[in-house]
Amino acid sequence: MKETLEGISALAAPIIVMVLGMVVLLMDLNAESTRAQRQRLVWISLLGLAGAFVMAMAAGFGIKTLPSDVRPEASYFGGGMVGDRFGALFSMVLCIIAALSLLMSDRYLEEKGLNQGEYYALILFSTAGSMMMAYAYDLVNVFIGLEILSVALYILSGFARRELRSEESAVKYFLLGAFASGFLMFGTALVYGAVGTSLLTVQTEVEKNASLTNFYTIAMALRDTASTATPLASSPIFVAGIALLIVGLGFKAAIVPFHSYAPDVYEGAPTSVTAFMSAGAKAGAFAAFLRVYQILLPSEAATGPYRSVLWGLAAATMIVGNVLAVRQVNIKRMLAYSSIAHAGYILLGVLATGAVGLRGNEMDEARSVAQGAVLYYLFVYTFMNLGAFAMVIWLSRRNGREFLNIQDYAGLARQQPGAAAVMAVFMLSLAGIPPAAGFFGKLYLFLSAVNSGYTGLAVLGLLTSVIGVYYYLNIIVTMYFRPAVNDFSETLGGGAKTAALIAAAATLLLGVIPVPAFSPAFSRGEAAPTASSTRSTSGTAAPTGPGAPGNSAAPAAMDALPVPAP
Amino acid sequence: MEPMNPAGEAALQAATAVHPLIPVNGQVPLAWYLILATILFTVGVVGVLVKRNPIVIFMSVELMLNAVNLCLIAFGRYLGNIGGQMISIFVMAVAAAEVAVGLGILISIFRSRESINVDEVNLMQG
Repeated sequence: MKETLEGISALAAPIIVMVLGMVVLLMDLNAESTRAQRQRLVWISLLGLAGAFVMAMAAGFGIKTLPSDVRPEASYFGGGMVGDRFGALFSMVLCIIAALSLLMSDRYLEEKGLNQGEYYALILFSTAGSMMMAYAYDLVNVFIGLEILSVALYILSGFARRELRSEESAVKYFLLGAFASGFLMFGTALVYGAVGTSLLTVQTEVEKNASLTNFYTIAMALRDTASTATPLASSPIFVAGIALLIVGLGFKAAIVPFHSYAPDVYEGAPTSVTAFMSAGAKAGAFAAFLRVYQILLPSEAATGPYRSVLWGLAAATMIVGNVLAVRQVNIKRMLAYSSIAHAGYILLGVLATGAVGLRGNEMDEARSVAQGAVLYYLFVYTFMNLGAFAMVIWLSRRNGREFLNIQDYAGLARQQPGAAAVMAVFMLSLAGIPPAAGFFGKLYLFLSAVNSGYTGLAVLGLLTSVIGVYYYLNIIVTMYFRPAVNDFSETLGGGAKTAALIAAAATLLLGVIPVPAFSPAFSRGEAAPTASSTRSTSGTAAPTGPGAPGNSAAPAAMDALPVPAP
Repeated sequence: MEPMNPAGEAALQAATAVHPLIPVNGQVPLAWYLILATILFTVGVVGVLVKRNPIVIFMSVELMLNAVNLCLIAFGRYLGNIGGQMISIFVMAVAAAEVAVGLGILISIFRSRESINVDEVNLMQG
């Protein structure tokens, strides 16, 4: 097979961001850099991220930088990376996450005395790693992407070197993160062996020296061995391998019971890093989760056990996240548990991509609806969650010390009505109350779950979100109806304010105009694209609204994930 | 352990006809490697869970990764596929990167508290 770089612009987003990180690192060689010089790094990073966003959008929608059929053959680096719309959409979300985090970091780091060029480079590397996970079509590349993401995050979470909490957060994250990568890698090794062994005995169209951890190879092996005496799907080694993969990825996505590190790490890390971590690491992990789940889907025997496992994980995550968030007094910790709960909702959407008891077209439709819902939710979650963290930074004292107790925000509405209103928007959205986008995100997720036959889990999701309403509204009540205890006249503001305002505007806009954007994915009457037809139509559907990528995210996701049908 | 990619089903049956754990022609069967790898991995996991010194915890993680490498290389040789060796080199490179960052973090925490026992690293709970 000849390797060329033709069409490599489909992978432009991670490449741009990675190179950008190196450029930023080189520009900051001078340790005595001034404030203005460091500010320039922020602007360059934002500019580069905007470029990566545009490139990802161009690759994902319409503009023909790609050969017309985007499927594993139109892949790069020996089939290990695939430049499809699914990856492009995740990259766009990740560009936004990185841009918002950089925007809110600058003055905050300056006040804390942490403003160093490496910070920006590390955020960019970590973003590139997460993007790589979204584009990866091989378990090895998932692993490499995950490590690029994680190693940068270990450093970032300990970035406030003089604070014990930050150090503690870094140690915990590092030890547990390395532990989880061990599981992920052992899972990969077992899958490698199981797939290879199963292919020894059957006639298959997999090339002789194809990568055995490639998603396409795994899917073909599942298909070709399905009717033999020893199907891959029921091979104990394969089952164990996928289970270990779920552990490894579940850790990154902070899914119960692998969540125990999350509250501590989120609390201890600098707030801007926490903001990035809560969305960026999750996006990458869920991208990989979706890909792995999609390759198993065509084989009923392979999907069955994972369905029940994912069902249990999603249920546990929603319950534990929401229940434990109720008793938190620290706002970062509360947001950490809330992000665990949201991981549960997203996992519910991932699960819904594999419909129960549906066949053929109906199943494909249910899958595309669920994929759209997951991507839409990640998109909305990015804005509301990063917005909430940006508020914590915005309202912190001039010396960069945040108000960390929820009670500290008492009486905020009197002193800073604008800030309180913005915070209220995020809390309403996180709680899933109608005018805000979070409501529609949840609505689509639960609808898609019902659509795919997971009514019980959807009901559980609804019930647990009711618990969520309690602790989100608690903040609003504190801000509006409690007497003030702190003076908010001198707030940090700066980039964090801009980031919060952008996020609030996006949250409201996505909430006001979500339905037209989503109608293609949700109209049941329309003929759903089948797995085979999606391949050829990739890159033609879904007109983009100007400047509103979220609008097109949902219908576009319909033909993400080109997975060979059996 | 003989690579038997070309031989296909007949060879597979011949090799597993006796018992996967019994050596054929004086060759160490694949299953032995897998059992060893699983034992190493389990030792690593238990080490992470029971040890209190972060350096030892990290060594246990390395043990887990070496179990992965052993597993990959055994499978790779058995299948006659180069991928296993390739992946294990990736794993080593990544493990080295993790060591560099991890030891840096541990040194930095040791400087500020004169102790690295994980039981004492517990400012945040709940």
